[in-house]
Amino acid sequence: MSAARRYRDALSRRVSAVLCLAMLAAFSWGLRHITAGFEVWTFEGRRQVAVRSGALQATVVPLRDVSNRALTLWGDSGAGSAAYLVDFVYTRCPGVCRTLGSEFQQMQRELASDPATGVHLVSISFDVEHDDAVQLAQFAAQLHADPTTWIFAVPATPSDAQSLLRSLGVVAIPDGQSGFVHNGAIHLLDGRGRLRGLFEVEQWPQALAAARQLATLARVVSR
Amino acid sequence: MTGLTLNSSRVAKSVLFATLPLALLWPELRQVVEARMLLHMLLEFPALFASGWVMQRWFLRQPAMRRWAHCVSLLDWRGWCGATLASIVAVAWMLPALLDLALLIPVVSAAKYLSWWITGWVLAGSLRRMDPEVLLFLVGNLAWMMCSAGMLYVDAPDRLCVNYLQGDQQQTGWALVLVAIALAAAGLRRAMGPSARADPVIDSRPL
Repeated sequence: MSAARRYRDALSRRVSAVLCLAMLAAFSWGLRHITAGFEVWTFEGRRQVAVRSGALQATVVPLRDVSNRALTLWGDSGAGSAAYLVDFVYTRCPGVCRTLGSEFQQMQRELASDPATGVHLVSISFDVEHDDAVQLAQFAAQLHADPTTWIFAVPATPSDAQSLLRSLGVVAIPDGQSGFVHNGAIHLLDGRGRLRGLFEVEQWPQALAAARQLATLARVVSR
Repeated sequence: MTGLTLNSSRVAKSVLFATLPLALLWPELRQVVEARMLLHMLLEFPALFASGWVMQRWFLRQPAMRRWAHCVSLLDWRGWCGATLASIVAVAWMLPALLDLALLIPVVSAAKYLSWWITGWVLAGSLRRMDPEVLLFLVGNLAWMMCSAGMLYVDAPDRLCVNYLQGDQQQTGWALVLVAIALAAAGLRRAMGPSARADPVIDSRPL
């Protein structure tokens, strides 16, 4: 091997080693950022981290209730001391939504026996094209929802629904049987629409306790 | 005549592989492919990789590009950079969080298309310079990672990606295990083959 070729080989080896190290360093930095310090590896895990840091806030979108009236929940200046326990549903849903419905019924019973000012149960349909006010009213009636405690609403348009779901990191996908599957169960939102807690269906007592605490705290702060 | 037919068939295949990812510009088709985890990981990623690979091979055949290719090869000593890049890209796009983000955030989606295409481009040159030991390390590492990710997708009790159903996740997991086995076998075959030893410095073998 000639001296020039040996020099070129040594230079090539060093430059390549530096490039490899740079790529590995950039990858490690990116991975650390994406996995929140190598802690979480899924989108849902990232969402939990975002909830802990208060980074998720529900977009204010036009909503319609069971009487087809315009409805504003979080984000309203008068709703500062409110706490919303929100689930996302669609009225054709045979499984999880019904389960969630029964958990919400239990929360409704708890709130009836021990009222808590400012705590609202909210079921929002994301199946905008199918769920109109009539469908929503029927669904609410089937679940024996008390309209003073439990609000049913649907966003005005599919893009409003998408915007609301995206802002909270909720992804609904077709389940292949004309229904949907989505992540997340019970979302606790404060009066401004910030996501303050995420709870599984079976954790409804904890969700309700957290909502009571949040509403009480907000009232004390607002005084 | 037979040679001409073979050559035309080879050119047609190259053009097909090189341009296949352009089909993803059709939103409906992209939606169909990316709506299934199996197609997303085992059709779209390889198609992007193959396109980059074929384009590099075509590029290297152009006499005017030889000098440029020679300079680039100096930055990839014995294929180390290509092996590192391929390992990083493969690991990254097996992470459930990144698969989801690629479907929800356009910048991440663009990074996915670009990274797989560039990996194909780089590795088509790198592989020719790679020593059998490095090749075996790369392929073994990739196969092990794919197999681990595949088993994780199969065994996970819940959905790991919010954009995919659990059944789809399990099918993808098994498919990844099968691809890992095929990859390991192909790597061994190449590394143990008679022309395994690469030129130690700069690739000068005929294309």
